Amino acid sequence: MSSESKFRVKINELGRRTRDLPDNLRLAALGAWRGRERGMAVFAGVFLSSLVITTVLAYGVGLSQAFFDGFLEVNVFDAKVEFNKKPVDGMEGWSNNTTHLLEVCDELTEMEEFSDCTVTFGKKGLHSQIDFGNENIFTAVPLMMEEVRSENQEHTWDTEGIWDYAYTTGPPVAETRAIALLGPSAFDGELANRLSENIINVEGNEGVWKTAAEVEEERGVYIPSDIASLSNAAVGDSISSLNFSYTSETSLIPGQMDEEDCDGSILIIGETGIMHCQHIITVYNMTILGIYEPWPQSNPTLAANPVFTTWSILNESQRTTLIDNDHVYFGLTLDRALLPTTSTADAADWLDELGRTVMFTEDESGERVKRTYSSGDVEVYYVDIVSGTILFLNIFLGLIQAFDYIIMIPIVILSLSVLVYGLVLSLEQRRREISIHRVIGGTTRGMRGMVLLELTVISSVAWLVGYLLAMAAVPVVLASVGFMRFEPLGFDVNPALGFGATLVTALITLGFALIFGRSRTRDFMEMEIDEGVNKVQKVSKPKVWLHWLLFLVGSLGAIDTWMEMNGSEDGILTNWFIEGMINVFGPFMLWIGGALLLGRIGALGPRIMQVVFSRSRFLSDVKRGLKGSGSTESVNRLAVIMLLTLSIVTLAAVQGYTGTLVDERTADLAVGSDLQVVMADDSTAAEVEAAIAEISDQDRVVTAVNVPIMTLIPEGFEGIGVYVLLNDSADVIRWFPQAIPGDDVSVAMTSYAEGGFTAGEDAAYALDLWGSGRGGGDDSGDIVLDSDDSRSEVVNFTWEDKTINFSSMSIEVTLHNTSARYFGVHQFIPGVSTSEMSNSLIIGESAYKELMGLSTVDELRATTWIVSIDGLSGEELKALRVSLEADTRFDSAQDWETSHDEVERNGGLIFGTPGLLTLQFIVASVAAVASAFVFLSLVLSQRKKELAVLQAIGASPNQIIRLVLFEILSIIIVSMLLGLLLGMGLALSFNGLFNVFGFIFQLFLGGETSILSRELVWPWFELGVVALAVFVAVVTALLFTTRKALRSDLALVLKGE
Amino acid sequence: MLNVQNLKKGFGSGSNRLEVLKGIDLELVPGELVALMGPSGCGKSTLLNIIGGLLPGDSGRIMLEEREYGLKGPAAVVDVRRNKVGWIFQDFHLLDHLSALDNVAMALEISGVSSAEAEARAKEALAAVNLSDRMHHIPDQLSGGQQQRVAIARAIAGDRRLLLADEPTGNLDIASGAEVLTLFKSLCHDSERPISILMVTHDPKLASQADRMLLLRDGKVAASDIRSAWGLEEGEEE
Repeated sequence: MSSESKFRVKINELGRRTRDLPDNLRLAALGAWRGRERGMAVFAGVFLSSLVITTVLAYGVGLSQAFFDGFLEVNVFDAKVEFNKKPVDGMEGWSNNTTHLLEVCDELTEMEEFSDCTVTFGKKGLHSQIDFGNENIFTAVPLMMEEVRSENQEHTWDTEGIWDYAYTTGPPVAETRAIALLGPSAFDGELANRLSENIINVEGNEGVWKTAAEVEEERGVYIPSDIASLSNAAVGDSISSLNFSYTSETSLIPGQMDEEDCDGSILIIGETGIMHCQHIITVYNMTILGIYEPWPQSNPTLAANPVFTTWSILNESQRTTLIDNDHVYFGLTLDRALLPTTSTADAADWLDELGRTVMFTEDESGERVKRTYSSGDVEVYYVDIVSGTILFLNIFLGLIQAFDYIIMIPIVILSLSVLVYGLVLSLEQRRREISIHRVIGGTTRGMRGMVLLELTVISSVAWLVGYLLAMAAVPVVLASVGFMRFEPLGFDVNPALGFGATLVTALITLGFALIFGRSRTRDFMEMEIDEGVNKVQKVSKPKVWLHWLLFLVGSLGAIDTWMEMNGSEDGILTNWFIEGMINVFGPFMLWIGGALLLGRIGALGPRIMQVVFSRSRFLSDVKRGLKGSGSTESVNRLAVIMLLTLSIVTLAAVQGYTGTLVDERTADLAVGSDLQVVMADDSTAAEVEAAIAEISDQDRVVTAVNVPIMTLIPEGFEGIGVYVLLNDSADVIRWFPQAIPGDDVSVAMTSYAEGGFTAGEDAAYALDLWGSGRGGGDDSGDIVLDSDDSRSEVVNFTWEDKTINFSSMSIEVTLHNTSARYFGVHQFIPGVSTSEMSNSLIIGESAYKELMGLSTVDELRATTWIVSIDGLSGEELKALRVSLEADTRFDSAQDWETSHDEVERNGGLIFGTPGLLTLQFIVASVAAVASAFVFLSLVLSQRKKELAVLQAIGASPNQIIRLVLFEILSIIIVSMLLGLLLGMGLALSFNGLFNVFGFIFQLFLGGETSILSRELVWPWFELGVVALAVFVAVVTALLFTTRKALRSDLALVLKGE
Repeated sequence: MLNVQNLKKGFGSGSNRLEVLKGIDLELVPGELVALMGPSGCGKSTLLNIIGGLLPGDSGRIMLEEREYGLKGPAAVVDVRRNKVGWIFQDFHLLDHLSALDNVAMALEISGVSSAEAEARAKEALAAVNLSDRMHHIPDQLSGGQQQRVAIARAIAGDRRLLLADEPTGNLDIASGAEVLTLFKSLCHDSERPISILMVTHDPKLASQADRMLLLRDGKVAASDIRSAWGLEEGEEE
């Protein structure tokens, strides 16, 4: 045949196929629907893998959006637009006419990308990109607060250092509180929305972000709550005058500026020595219209948390002066809905392009030229505040996603194995059908096509359902604030996957189904030709040695964690590199090796249970039927699937609950109880309690406790720092076992109250006490020592009470003595800084009172108090903290909820992981129940004939149900138990991975290394519920399918029809 | 021993209704080997299934050693299958994962015989079918003839007085088929405990060796007209 005619034949063939396609698809869909029982298995596999893979990918997108939104939330302005160059007299491209400037704002907001713009007097211009080589980032100083006067006698505006402010992000530009004078458009629209968000509006402090006209008329000022607290000022109070300074000249070189060069006053920035020439502007008769809660400091382009007011308080000449000195900029907000959310890279590109559009345009010849505003008067420079955030996010998200992908590997593997198993079973169901096709002349190719087309139809529907469900699930996963705990997300997330990513999910799931389906169908056809239609397929011999190797190496990590949890210093892995590698790969080796090995034991469930029931009469008449059960591949696979699902359920539940608890403990450690407050003056507990009760305005029990610090001299040693646990601390402070010796907090508290003391590890070493860990294996332990324990010692302490005798001008020392019994090693006190804990002691109230010669501790005065408030939590607690911060009696306050939110947001269990673990838990639980149902139906319908034979030889329905129930349930129960066991091992082994990633995050965030140990929590109840659900599903599926099999026409089944 | 009276059975409903058995009367005496023949679709297997308790009849009655049945579903006649009727199928229908001994003993245990006794009796039954040396083999390791002999052992081990054989030699070669028939004869003509066998077959040679032959036509038992039956069914399958 010539190549041309071959080509023609091919074209004809293609044409025929195309013509036949709709018909074939219809037939395949019909076939799929008729054989839906077998199709369910394939459907379940593809659906699960599509659900999981799509969720993980879309979760990445959603996470990026949520993070982005979260980070953006702390910026009021999204961009700072300035004059293109520093204003110099006679130079073009700038204007000191505010009307022109307002025109620029109007022109900018005409662009759809910008939602609002205000002309602002504040920080100087940068006029160039922000990077370290650029000196302007050091010299662009804000307008600085200098002085406030008021006729109100209660105000303390003269408090020393009231205007000092530490800018914690960006280069050291200034050390003084800034002031920003906003234009009228900042008091309506998007800017007003953003600026009003943090205004405290609680009873006694009803601040409102007012309209431009109102602010102008009332000459309004908005101050941060820390300033309000220091100045004793409240909403509605008047200010008679306010001084702030602007900068006219700057010298980068320290010492270069002297008084001759500056007709104002010279300000030297401490850290850099940069000198600024400052001039004062005074404005009069202002009113405080609101107090705001400071934003977290973020992008340093603008000075954080300034005093806000309106530039309508300035006269025209003052405005001109500020403009001439470059203290003006346009603060812009973006229409954030237009920011591409597909990826941060897309957002960065979009922002770059926007910056170019603002600064440049094309002339008639198509050349790129500078764009001008206000009829050509003003050229601008665009400083993007958002993209700095994006760079940071990109690195961060990369790390988070890597971690998240790793922890989702098991569930992806599970879904794929459900898919593989489903395919195999569904093919086996078609044995007879295929043999009939063969008899009537079907070719291998034709039959493979038929099977694959049906597979394609089922898989496509399953993929789509999984995909859509995943899209709906992602916002829920993102809203997870702890394991199985959700809170509204607070911002809109639209986790749409791009075309490429969607294609990836389809390729992975559908592609895998088709490739695997193709190879299995081919094997199946070959086998069928070789062996006829009715024989069991060959099973390739499993590589048991490989399973053992995986299992044993993987177990090392789990054993290591277990040993470390039980007091061993290093566990069995001492080499950090090997430990690291095993921490990362071990869990997967353990999981896969374990599932394959234990799956074989699971399949032997009936034999194992038979031994248990050997003497019972329950099985005497049917037990022979169990011989040889578990040898079939289908039963073996069912065992493996059960093992995999249950192990994942266990892993997710254990790690999820552990992470949630660690997050809570971290907040406990930081705050100590519901609140931690620092009073403006030394106060007693009663005063603190009364003040909080008054502000909270609710009838609640408030208990405040302080942890006094003193120095004691143990007999024979030098002085040492001692923390005192007053009796109330037992109830007020949120204790947990890691803090104190032993596992029982109440035992430790009683020991303190009865005159015992504990030591940190370093302190124990310094005082030659047991427990420092320096003396080898026996020299450490988390136990409470009894009084008759030889390791417990009574130590005498002396306290030197020093008083100054003013008449003789000498220090008089009075010695007070007490003794206390050592009962173990402590680690920390929640709510108290951990830095000194290791080389300090903790004593109880009785010892303290004896030393101080006090009968009560009621008169103890201190500034820092840990406070518990009965029954107050959530938003109410946060609101109370805000009110406390705004109250003059309190310098600062921390609440547990906010601290907990921060922990969740900044790490804790590691970003978003609770959501993924929740997803894993739910998907694995559903998979366990669903696969039990689907696969049991298939396994049993495969055994229909066997059940019919048993009936024909005289078995009663009751006997058959007993036989089947016992056989399958023993496989399921044994597999579930083994799965639980494997899951526990996995949870232990995954702890290492969490530690590795925790370490990387800490490196990246530069945060403090957490001293909390990640002790695993075993949520037996939840695991029990899942196990029970699986069990119920299995029994239901079994009864349903067995009854169906029993009702079928025995004669027909035996005839093979 | 077996007495079937006016047994009727039809399938389907309305215009699709097909009456397969239109009033069968037959009787078997102990120790009798009866061949049941007839054209395809005439209801041979249906009759066997009703007698064997796998299918309920529509009307009529069956008496088998004092037990009356015939109209109730399989779940109601477990005792018949368990104690009175032994089945032998064309495809043997042994349990694949059990050895020959276990296949036989399992049937006994199901009917309440203790394990030890079941094994002893299974061994006896296997000896009776000349399979003492193969009793620990699983079906895959046995030839077709041997598998059918295991099935026969399973059927007779329970002391059942009636065996129903649905084309017992259909899947066997000529020699194995002959062996099975010889076995049937010896079982029927056992002087101590003769068994009755009702055997469906298309093979006139096999039928000719039976004690008696029944021809089923148009849903009724016709006369023993072996030639016409054979002439009609050649090359056809039921």
